[in-house]
Amino acid sequence: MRYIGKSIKRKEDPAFLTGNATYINDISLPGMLYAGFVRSPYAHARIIKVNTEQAEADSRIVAIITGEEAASKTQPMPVYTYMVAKSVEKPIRHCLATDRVRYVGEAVAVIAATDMYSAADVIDSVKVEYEPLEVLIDPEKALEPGAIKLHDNLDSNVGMVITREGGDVVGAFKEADFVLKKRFSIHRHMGSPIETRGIIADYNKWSQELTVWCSTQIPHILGAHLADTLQIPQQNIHVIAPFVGGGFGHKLQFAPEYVAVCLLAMKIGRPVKWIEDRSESLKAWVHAREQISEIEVAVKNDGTLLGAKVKLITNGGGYLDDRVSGPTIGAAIWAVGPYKMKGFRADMKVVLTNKCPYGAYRGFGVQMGVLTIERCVDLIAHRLGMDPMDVRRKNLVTPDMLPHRNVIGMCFDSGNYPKALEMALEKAGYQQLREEQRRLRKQGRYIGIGLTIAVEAGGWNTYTAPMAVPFVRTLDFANLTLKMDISTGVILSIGDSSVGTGHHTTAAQVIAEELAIDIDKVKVIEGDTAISLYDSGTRASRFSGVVLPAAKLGAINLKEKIKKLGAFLLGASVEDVEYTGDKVIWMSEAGEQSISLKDIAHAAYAEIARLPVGMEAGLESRGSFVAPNIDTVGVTWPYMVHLAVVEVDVDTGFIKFLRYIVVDDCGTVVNPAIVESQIIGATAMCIGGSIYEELVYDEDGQLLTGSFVDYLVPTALEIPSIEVYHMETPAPQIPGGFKGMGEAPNVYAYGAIINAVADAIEHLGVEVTAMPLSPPNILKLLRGVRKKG
Amino acid sequence: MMKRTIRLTVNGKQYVEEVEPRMLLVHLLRERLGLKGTHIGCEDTICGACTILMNGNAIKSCTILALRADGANITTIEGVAAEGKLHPVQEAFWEEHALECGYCTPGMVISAIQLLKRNPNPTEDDVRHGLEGNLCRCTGYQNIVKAVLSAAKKLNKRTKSD
Repeated sequence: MRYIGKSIKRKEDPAFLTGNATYINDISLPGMLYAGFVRSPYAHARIIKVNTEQAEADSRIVAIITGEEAASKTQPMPVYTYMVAKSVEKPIRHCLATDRVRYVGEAVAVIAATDMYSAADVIDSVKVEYEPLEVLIDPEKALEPGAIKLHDNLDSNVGMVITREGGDVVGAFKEADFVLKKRFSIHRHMGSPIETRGIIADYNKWSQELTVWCSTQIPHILGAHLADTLQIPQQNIHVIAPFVGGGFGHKLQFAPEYVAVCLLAMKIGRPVKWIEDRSESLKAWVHAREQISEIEVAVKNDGTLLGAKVKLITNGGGYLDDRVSGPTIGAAIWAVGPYKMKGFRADMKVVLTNKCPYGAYRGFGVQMGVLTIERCVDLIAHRLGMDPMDVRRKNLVTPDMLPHRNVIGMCFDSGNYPKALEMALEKAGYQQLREEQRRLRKQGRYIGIGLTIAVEAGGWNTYTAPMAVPFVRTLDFANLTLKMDISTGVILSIGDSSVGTGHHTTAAQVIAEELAIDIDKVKVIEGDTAISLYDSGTRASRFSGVVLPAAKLGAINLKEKIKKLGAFLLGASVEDVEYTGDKVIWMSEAGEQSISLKDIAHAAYAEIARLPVGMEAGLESRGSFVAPNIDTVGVTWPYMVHLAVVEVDVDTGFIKFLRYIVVDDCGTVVNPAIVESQIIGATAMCIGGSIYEELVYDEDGQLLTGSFVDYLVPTALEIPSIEVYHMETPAPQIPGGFKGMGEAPNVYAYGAIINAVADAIEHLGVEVTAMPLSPPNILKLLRGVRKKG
Repeated sequence: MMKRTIRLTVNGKQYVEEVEPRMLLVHLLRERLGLKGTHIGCEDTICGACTILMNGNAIKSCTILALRADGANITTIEGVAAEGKLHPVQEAFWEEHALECGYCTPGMVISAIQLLKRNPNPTEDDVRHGLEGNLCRCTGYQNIVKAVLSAAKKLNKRTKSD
């Protein structure tokens, strides 16, 4: 292999390194105006009046749109109900609040100003009168009878109810020797990519064309949603995603702000740009992770995990974000783990409160499921006097069982989970660590070992189209185009976005390998709906497991065309020729004859009369891949083991990482360095999320962590060195054998860290069940014990 | 608002600009001078995406008024690669896969350049401390640290052979 499996330097990098890559804020158009949002200072209030008199008199303001106007000109924001088991009344939301605001920072009006500084100056001249209402921030309080109802058209503050069941739950619990019952919670935090949201909208009244530049992960789906919400024909909407400065799922959001900015552009007839502030971003983008999981695990005294029941609550915030059902389901059903359970049931609720709406964030809820079962495994082991690793060994799905449909319907494809576990333990020196732990405890030092093992989905068979038909199963797919030009250069055009995961290099490696050409001859373009086929976007870890197979198949199709034409021009039949990358060769009776790729391309474009009748001119092809019709959840199944060794300082509450080990298997790897960087970055994100990052609200629903001064994104000092070890088991049903892995590494660290901290200090009489494991929280836990003791 | 005239050198080129007193340096560089490589990631001086060199020091251009740059000698990311050839820090970042989305990268490169000027032989710990003012959400910093250590070697080799 010339390219597959090689850590080729990324083609994207020279532009990034020299400040020459274009992001949304780098784009300017003639006559462009700047949008600013008037946002609610209250978490819950009725809007009595929106007074725009003063603002309208200000010459720096070119246009203002309030909720009333927005509601008259747009459809409500969509809510994706595909995965929902019960059809429910949906909270209604337009892009700007009309009669009521339901979270601090909710947009009430939007203005377009002549320049960036003026937009900030004039925003306060829009005067809004509010009548504050009672605030609910706790989802369990929001469920109590008599709690103020956030939405009049709903029966309660329950936004969604979802149920999933598989296998024999009753039987599993009947057979149990005991039931472990626990409650875990993860706190609210978010992805905060270094680049916030941004959009430019430009509307041509006479051609009725809307052009949108947006830092989005989903150009095609964004266009479709805009078409539906603004009632513009979809074919008239052109979406362009420039380089995206980090997405992490947040830029899947179909933001109300996008609709409002488009409305401004349509009203004024001039381009309008909106670049989000960091403080807006922290309070009014999408939030994530805040969930409560109550689990019961049915266990036999020999350590067999028979089954489990989960009750899951997602704190959904003031409205239902388009993508809140996914993480709600992920958080619950991943509590089956990579284990051979025979029965499982999950009852899930999305509860509405006066916080920012809960949206998609890398990992999509799976981290809660992993934390839940993996914490239970450790607790079960303690109760039975077993080593937690032995409980895992006893219950893991084994290679001879694969492919394996687990009790909740996930179809694990290939791999060796027990081997990965052993590798992690061996690299860590597990037995020595246990001895070290015992030795240090005598000195009053507390180290802990925490491990999580799980199988993740690489590519999801959900959210693959903008408007979902309820309850109809679908599959993920990718279509893309390849073009070889007259000079034998190749362009691959994909309808997803470039968010930093090295698509331009990885896809070029696959194409170059298949076509046996130099990688410098391959150019990958993304992000533009006008020059790409429909693609559901950069999301769901689908690039490697769904898009790359399509690219490979497209390259194979192109190769066939080249061969066919080359054979014809040589006077041979296609079965008798060989394609070598720079020529097509025929071993004829008269000896070796060949035609160069260059001459074939020239003939295809400029010597059409030489082509056989019926053959297409040019050298273009399509690549098309549909996920195997097996699974309701995932397309491919990468898996990892994370093992954290920590020391907990019981005086300061700080956690020090002594070692952090990852064993990963994501199928055939195209570019090992790109994969490894993803793994380390995702793990770092989770270390931040487990310990340092927290979106804190007070009782009045005010966000207290409103800037990076308080919202603690980890720096280079907080993140340890992470050791990564690899296994490679190709995906059996995927051309190329690739498995998606953009999210996988993002679901293990929470569980590994909570297990490690618990392993370090639970013997002191504390119970570790909630995140974040911040120094103050750890001290609180320890103080609680000292009080008891 | 009364405008004031400032004179500054950016990437070796001299500029005379009229600015409002409240204009931030980062906006002057990006919007007025068209140097879009310096990025904005927050309003609180924390993320470091806006880091540039001003009179030889790495500073966060989002927290400095353009007026303060009167008479200053500024290097932005666009001025780092001399005559179309990548700086050793940029080369090292490329070789070590020290970037993903690229948004924090210009600030990181500038901070790394200052770090190595002040400490040509840093330890891993020195590097992590030196980059504390630059947030990255994509890479987890590991390859960035590797890249800075590799760049240190490259620069030391260069100095030796000079």
